[in-house]
Amino acid sequence: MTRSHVDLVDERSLLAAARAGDERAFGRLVECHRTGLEQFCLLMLGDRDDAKCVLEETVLCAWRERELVEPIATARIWLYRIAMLACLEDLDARR
Amino acid sequence: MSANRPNSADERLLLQAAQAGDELAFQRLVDPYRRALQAHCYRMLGSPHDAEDIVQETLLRAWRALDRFEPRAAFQTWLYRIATNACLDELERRPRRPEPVQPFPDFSPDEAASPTYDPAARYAIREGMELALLRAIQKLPGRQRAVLILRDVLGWTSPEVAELLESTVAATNSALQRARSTIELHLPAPGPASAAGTERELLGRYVDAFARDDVDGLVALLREDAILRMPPQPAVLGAGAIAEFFRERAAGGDLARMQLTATWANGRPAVAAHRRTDGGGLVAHGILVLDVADERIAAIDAFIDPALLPVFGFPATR
Repeated sequence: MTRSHVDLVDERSLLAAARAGDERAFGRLVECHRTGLEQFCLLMLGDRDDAKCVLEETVLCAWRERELVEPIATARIWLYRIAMLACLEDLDARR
Repeated sequence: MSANRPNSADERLLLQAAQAGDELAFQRLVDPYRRALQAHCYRMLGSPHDAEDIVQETLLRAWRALDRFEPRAAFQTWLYRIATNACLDELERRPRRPEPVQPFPDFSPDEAASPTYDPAARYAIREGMELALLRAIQKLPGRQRAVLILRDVLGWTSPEVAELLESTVAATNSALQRARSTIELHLPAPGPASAAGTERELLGRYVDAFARDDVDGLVALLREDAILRMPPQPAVLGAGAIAEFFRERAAGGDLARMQLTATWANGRPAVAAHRRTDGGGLVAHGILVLDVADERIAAIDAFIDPALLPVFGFPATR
């Protein structure tokens, strides 16, 4: 897997800082993954506006639940899991 | 979004109780709006932390002003107005504070390094492809959709996807197989996917040929009538002449002095070139954009301008 912007070590310390409430660290983590998350949400939902909403929700939810993230988790899996659940919820709500 | 908003009759009752001073009723009244308000404040403030605070502030203001709320108006609009004002107050309070969540530019200049262009990915999201893929993916059930996007577009590994889904590698792979067969049915063939695959492969071999100073390998990638454009110099026409150019003139006769990194420019495969100096360091050289036709390179557009590299997210020196 090609890594962008930050390597895994950097990402681990950012994640630890974000867990402890460091908003800048959290912001950096999100920015590192934003492009991929955008693609993911867009492809999941097939709608640009919905994808934008769900991504915003994902970021907020990640921030709210930052303390719940397991210390061994990677930021990527953590963020994408939240995004995926938000997308699935959105798809369910449309039925 | 899936807000479980109470119907308007319920809302009216809750509102009456809240206006009479029932705090619990107020909580139940505003709860359904909480997430949307938070998203709204986040958009306004660019900071999830501040958004949280301002939603609290909004609800406090709403509670205090509740007896002045005119029931004929829409409650949601009223709440949003309060939230907007609270955000504006907050923004005014911190005029010098830089945007905290946006330390990186909004766009991803380094697309070659972004997960989207991972060589392991089966489908590349490119112009045109995106739409076809989007439509095909809509045929998949949610979880299969997630598996296919993560594996085949974003290039994740099976164990990673299994971890994300809190599932097993075997289950993930079987979901992927089912998703793929559905997708292949719905993707136009011979899809732009294969064209993108060819471009990616050519790009890889191009970078490789430079690294090995392999002019013959490089020329094998070119069409007979390929053209090398490098304004303001005159264009070099034909694979033979381009080979000559690479052998004699480019990079002082040693292609390996160039360090190329695959990237994409304007939807076309491209390389960012750094040149090795006599001291051993690397300095920015330029961006070369490839034009691929019939599975061969038909044109190379060389933009020899070191200032371009930072625009693409590459360092000026390495």
